[in-house]
Amino acid sequence: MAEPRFLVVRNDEEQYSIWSADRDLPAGWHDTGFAGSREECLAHVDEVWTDMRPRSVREALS
Amino acid sequence: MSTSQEWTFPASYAQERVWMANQLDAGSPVFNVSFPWLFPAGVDADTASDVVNRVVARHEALRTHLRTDDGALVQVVRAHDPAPLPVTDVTHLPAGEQRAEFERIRGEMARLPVPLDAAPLWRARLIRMEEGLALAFVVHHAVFDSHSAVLFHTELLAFCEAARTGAEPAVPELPVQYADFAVWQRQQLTGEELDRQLAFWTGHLAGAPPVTGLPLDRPRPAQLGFAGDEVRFRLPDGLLDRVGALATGAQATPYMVLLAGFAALLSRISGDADVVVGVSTAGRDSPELTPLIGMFVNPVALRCDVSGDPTFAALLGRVRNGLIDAMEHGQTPFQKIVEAVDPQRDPSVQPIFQTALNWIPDSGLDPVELGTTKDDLAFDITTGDCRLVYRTDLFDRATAETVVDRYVRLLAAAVAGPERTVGALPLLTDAERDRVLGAWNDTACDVPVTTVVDEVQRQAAATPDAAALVCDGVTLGYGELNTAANRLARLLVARGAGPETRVALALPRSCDLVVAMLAVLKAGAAYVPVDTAYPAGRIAYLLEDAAPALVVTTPDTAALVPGDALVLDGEVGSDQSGDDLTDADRVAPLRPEHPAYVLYTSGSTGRPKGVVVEHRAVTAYLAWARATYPGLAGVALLHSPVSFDLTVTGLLGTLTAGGTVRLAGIDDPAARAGGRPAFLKVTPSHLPLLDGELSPTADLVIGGEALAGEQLAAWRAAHPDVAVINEYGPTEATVGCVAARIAPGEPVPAGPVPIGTPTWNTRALLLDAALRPVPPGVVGELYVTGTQLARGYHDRPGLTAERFLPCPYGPPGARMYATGDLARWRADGALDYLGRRDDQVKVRGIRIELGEVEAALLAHPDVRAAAAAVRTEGGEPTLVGYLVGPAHEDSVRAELARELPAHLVPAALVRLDALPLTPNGKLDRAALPAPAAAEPEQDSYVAPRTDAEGLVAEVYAEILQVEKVGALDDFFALGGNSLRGMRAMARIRAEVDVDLPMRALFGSPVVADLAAQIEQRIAAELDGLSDTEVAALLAAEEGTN
Repeated sequence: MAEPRFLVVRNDEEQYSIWSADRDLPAGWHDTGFAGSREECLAHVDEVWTDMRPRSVREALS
Repeated sequence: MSTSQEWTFPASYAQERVWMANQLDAGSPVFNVSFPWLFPAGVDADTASDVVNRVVARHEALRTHLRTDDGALVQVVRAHDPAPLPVTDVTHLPAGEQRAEFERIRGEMARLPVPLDAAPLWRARLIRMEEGLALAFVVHHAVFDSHSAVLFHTELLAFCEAARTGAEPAVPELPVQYADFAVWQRQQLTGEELDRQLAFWTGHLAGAPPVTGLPLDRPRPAQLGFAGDEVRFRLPDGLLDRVGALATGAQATPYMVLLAGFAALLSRISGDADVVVGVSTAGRDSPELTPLIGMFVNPVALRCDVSGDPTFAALLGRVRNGLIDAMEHGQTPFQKIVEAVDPQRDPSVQPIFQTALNWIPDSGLDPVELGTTKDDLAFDITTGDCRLVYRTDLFDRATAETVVDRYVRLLAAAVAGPERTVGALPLLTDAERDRVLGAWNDTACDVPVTTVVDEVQRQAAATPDAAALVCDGVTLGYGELNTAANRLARLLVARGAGPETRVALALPRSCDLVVAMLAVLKAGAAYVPVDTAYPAGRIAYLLEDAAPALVVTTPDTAALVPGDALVLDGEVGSDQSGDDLTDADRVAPLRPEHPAYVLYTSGSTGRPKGVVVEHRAVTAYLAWARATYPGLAGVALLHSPVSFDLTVTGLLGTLTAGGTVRLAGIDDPAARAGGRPAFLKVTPSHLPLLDGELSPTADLVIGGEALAGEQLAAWRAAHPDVAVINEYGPTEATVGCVAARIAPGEPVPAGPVPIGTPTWNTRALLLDAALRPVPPGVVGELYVTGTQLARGYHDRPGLTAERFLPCPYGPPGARMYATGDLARWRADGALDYLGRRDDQVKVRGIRIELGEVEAALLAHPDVRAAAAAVRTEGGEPTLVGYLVGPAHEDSVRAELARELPAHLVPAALVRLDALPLTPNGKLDRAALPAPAAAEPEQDSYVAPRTDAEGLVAEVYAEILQVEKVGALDDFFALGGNSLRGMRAMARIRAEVDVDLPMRALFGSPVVADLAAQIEQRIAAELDGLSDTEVAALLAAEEGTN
């Protein structure tokens, strides 16, 4: 059986997560365009989510 | 007694199986088959009697009973001895009540057990009503099956018709009789043919789950009985037509569609992808067997593969192929399969399958309810009345009704849309969905979004002179504490601390520690507690991972941390202003979205990770805690390390409620100084330490680990006037996110204590593997969403993304935390905690709930603390019990064997002086010792010690062909099976005249235990005798010596 596919997704606070590719994405979350196995997606998040502060916090500080 | 001629034949396999099962409770009517019949108009009682007698004359099965001859089961066929049927006249009753009276008589007859060892195995009575003559007929399943019922009615009608017209009755010739079949069957199924068939079944069932994972309302009792009940229902109009249409299109039968629906339901409710269902084969493979009344039915196991979330159509294909395979091997006697697949049977579990579905469109259901069941759950589906029969030891009626609702809903949806996946079929009603997502999560509460700093300063301004902190003999008032923290905070700001930075606190439990925590918060930074008792390597790891802007320590602990740490020596910060800091004093403004602390938790695997918790989450929890725990306004004893988030309640909860924090180890005399605290939070493992002086007066909060009623019982009895709150909460959802309050005086039943309902503005979601809500009663993984969620794991984006998922059931963009814990909704909307998902342990394929074992251990009066674990040192997983207390292992084991199913009785028990605890007060599972290696077999031989043990050992040795049998040997472990068991019991009964049922052997297969049962029964029989009778017996006994 094929390995389940996941998407790397992000909300408006620019917090990342992963989501099964064959399930409807909950409102307020957006596909970042990266898809792969669970491990590949988590490794991708490790790479791209460099500032874990929510966007509102980041903007308030700058 | 009748003197009619009789012949004996070997019993058929089906008769043997029914006889054996019947032995489990010979006093139960579970195998009675009963149905009403109305004679055609004009038939009088004599004719009716004659008609029934003619049918009996034709079928040997109706003149057969069973008997054991020398340990072998035989069927005894008697010559026909016509006898008139008794008649009950009910015509004196009003016409409208005659039917009811008939049903009453029939019901009474149906519920009366039919003994298997006395002919005939049926009872009949004619009931005369104004509408005509009715027949009440009750027959034992050992000689009658559902096809027999159809034959019986056809023949009654044919003989009635013949009596009316004088013509020859239209009944078929019977070339063979049932006993011929039994003899033939015994000859057929031997040697290679039997081996070939058994090889199919052992292969088919290899690795199948031995017990269904269905959630039960009650734990399995140690011994199965037949107590049952049934829920009657009808399928919605047209559903069976649609079932038939789908079947036709898929080259399947309606039965296969009904079975696929059942397998889908079982899989969805249990979470098992591998489901075993019992189905019946007619067992009438040859044409000459078709017209015979008798017991031919043989159950077989249908194994359904529901893995990979197939479409319903695909599942139907799998079920179809599986059923065809199973039917092709349907003549293998089920008891032979049991012996081959599951020889060491567990008397608490029906072997091979526990659920069944029967499709009986032709004979229909008997309206008489017997109050019995053979299976845990069994559907009987007909074109009219259907029913679900359920085991009342395991299920409540409400649960059975829900199972029926879910089956009908799921089947209707599956038939309407066979391309839907099994996982997408509806399981919940709309009302249930509203309940689990809405009503039970209706936690909205208006709580201001604020910082811990604002809350503490509000309290300090309100009660500056009240005692805030007592430690090491020093009492600090709110004003003093606040001022000290302000001074240090200014220094921390000067050293670079501020919002979105971290300050590590490597301080022992002291006033300084509390001052420093508040100072870090006031500076706007997050504190990272570093337990100074940790090994140097762990401290170094935490400091590197947390990358703090600053480390704070004391002269005593400075050696543990890098040289540039800020050392609190009493003078530090004394030159700073003691006023509250404003945002102007900080590096950047402090907002509720900034982290307040980072706590490191060690997961089961991998390196410890820092959970980043924001001010808004902490203040949200604290607002709920202050409203829930009135004791926080009094003295709170704080005894656990602050690196454990359990302490947030007693520390920050108290300091924002105006109470006094008493900081002392639980074994420190200072913990008791000043009288009982009002508030105390502990883990269940601490409970045995709580004496009269330590026990709180207002709130005892228990968290950190699963809690059982047994653990709480002793403390509760001694302190009935204190509220107990079972608080559940991973650090990732801030201290406590689900809680159950047990008010003073409210009883606490044994078994797991519910964790209750979510805290304010928090929602608890119980979801299945596809993130769909599970219905009440069904096990799901617990997800938490709402204001108490942590930001994530410090510097671990991937791990954070893995555990904090998009929430499909919340506002847009919301996240939910996957706790990895299993739970279920109770009917009242409270949650039951069921352990870690990854701790799901299996022994010999059976899922073990360690909590259940631990609770049973604690139920022993001489066990103070207990734990259970599955160990794999010897290769095979083994269940091990640990106990603390004066109880002797043998007495504990005997008690467990009485209370628990065999698979939950630990193979080894280990006595400990105390349970090993982690620094946080949780059970340290890794530190539980391995049991001493089991002694080699030959050393465990214990010679029989009593006459009864001698007898049992001798019989075992003879039947099982074993040279030496000791008092502690187990019949089944020595190679016994139910057939040999039957012989053994016959031999024992021949030696001692005592009424010993077959189930005694299943319940007590060990020589010593069975011997004890024999002695008990002899003693009981002696008790029932008068003194004269006993004297006479003894005299006779002496006379024989």
